[in-house]
Amino acid sequence: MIVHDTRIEGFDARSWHRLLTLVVPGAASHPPQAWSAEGRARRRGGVVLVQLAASGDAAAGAIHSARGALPLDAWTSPRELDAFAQRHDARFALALRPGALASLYERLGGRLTLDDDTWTTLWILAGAVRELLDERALYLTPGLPASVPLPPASALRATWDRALPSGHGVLIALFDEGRLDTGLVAHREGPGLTFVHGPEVIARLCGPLRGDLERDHRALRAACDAWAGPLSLGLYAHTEVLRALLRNDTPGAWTQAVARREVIFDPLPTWAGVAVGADAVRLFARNVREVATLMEAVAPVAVAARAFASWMTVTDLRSVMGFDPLDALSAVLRRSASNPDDDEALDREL
Amino acid sequence: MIASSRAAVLRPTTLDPTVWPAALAALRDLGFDAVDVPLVWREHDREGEVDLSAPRDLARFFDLVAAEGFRAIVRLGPTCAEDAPAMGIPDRLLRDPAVCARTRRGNPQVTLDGLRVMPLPSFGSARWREACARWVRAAATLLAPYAARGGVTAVVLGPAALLTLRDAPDDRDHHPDLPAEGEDPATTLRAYLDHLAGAARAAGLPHAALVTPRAPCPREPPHPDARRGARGDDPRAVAARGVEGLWRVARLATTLPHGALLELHAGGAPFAAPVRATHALQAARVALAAGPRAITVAAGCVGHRWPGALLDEKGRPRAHAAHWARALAAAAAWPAARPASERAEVVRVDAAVVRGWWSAPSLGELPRTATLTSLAHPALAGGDDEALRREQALQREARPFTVAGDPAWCAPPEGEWVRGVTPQGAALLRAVQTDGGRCLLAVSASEETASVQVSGRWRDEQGALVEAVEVAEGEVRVLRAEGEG
Repeated sequence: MIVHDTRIEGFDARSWHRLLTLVVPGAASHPPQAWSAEGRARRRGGVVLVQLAASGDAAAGAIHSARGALPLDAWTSPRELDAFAQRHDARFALALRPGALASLYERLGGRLTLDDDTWTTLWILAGAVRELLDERALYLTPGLPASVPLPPASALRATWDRALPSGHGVLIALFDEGRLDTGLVAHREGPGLTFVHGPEVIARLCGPLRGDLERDHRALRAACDAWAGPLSLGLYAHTEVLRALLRNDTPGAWTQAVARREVIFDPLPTWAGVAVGADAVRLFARNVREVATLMEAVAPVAVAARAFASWMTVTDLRSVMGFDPLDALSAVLRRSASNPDDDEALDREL
Repeated sequence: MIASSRAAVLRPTTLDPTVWPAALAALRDLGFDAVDVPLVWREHDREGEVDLSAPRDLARFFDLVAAEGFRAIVRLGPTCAEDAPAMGIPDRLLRDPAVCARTRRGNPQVTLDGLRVMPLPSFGSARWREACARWVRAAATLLAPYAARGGVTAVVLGPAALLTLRDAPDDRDHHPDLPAEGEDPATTLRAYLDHLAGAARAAGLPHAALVTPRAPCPREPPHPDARRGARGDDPRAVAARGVEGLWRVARLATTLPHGALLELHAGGAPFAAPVRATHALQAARVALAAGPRAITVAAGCVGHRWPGALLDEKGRPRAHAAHWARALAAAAAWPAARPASERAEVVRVDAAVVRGWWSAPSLGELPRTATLTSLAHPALAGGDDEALRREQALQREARPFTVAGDPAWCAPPEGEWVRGVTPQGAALLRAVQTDGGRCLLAVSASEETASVQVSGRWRDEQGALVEAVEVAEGEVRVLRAEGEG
């Protein structure tokens, strides 16, 4: 978690862009020409904001973060917000009653203090948003899971502590065309990260690499263990493999990638092992559920079969967090129609 | 007024002092002639006392800057660096209830600060103003000798970031130090800025070196449609970016008498959307082609917390810095900015060529001949071919006209468009008569928007000094006004 005194060093524009757009493709950089009228019309993704009337289903106006003002002839009601967003190729949409934003800021101002950490801030923010959703002052798409209680800030903090304990480091090294493409090495001390170092620093630490994932990961781990260690997690992969995996919701995809050594974990913390294992379990569960569905149709053990199938689906992060963060991330990323690195060749020229 | 400069942001506190000389030398080699130095208040605050010798000795830094022959533009804020936590404001002040801006219900007004939320200070708070004045006095005391020797050419006061956070109707500050019936935010802001400027002058900074941005922030002048609110048929209300937006902002920066700093970006703050080096460079080329008098590249070298800076944390140029060096060299080849009273030149108008330039598929593949870019920056386009030489000959032979005097300081033929090179850059020029007096229009290359060159002083009907207006469909709108003479 990046805090005030976190040092972020060793990233050039390209490596930073490659790293961030893996998980936030909508933030990808665009050339100035892309903001011409023609370019904007071609843009997909972005956010649609709809200003609703004080009551009822009518909208007073709608605007797209890339395309500008939108016609309202296709607008029906806030309950059809998702369809409206898809019609305009938007990835996210929100509709607001008059005063909703001011009300949100009133609530945040009254509940948050400067000493609240990121987890508490996120928890209070999510709570305030959910209140506005319940009051029908705000509509979101994709929506927050309504029936699932928000995990408390302490659970989020505990998850963070488990993912990267204080005094430990994390290394992500991503390769492309036989060279270190992007990545980071970070160290945590106390509540937040003390530093996040990019490929320039990693390259200085490790010296020349062979471009062979299997061999290089050992050198990378040794060097970064001494720099940011002990490492709690090391992830080594090709950038495009990781990009595809993050968008893949097929059960077993991660497990198969690990088995094929397309993704290497070294070290592999327990939680990551459980996650990969859970992915394998999901694959197994899917197969079992298909069998169970057949059983349901042909045997008098339907109840038992259904219970078994549902049990097999909850042996992962969902049972802890109330939702599966990897599934959620994957779902959001799949909505991204464009690859942010379509014009990657441009940067290579620099 | 800020003299013509090509500045790079350099935050001394984010670098090891042993790196300072190397970083300054590298910036000079890249073609910069000035450094833009944001001083972050919270880094020098010791429980209310200002210590400018720690964590870095700023006097030594400014000595080095002067020794390297750089001019320095210093930003005192109090909020002046995008990458500084809490906008650079000391936490002790943000915890002070007497400082925070208030919502209608008395809650603190908050804004995002990275992954947390921070309260906004109130411009009307007496305690905030006094604390700011102490900071400005201390910093101005350090800077005054450098300003007297010419090493520090501008000291920028004012909260650029905070200005943009108070645009919405619901954002009105209900701080108890403000009149209960409410006060015009512009009045509050002006009083606040005057308070800061008074503190700086009291500490010995010459008035001429002080720059106090007026709302709206010079970095992002609003599109007129954005000011009126979103209009159904004009997406520029939210997307006034891209080539056209860049050009308009850059042109505006050539016309403002108080010397707006046009800010270009190399890289970005960690919580901002990442920018490709290629795209940043394309934007810079468009802006440089508009001929801004003073540019700042954020960031040249800011140490940590600015991925993609031109220099790395050791003060060494990154790969893409060489491309910036070429563009800056082209900008440096421009004639130095001259006072508006000097002569400008009329050159040939070829609207088709201008339109062709805008339809170029890539700014990296610009046609080399007879373009606005080549007229303005031969070295930028890299062309030395025959057509370019013909254009230059035309410029030399063209009938000159005078851009001087008030009110008749512009004298191209009334109602006729001419291609001109103003003291700051190339443009289509036309003299028009407005309610406020005679103006010279300098039209952007897109021929869709226009800015008005008001290098002379010109008062509107209310007596306010107008600095620039924008023209569309024959209508002249005030784009920016400065309230004092």
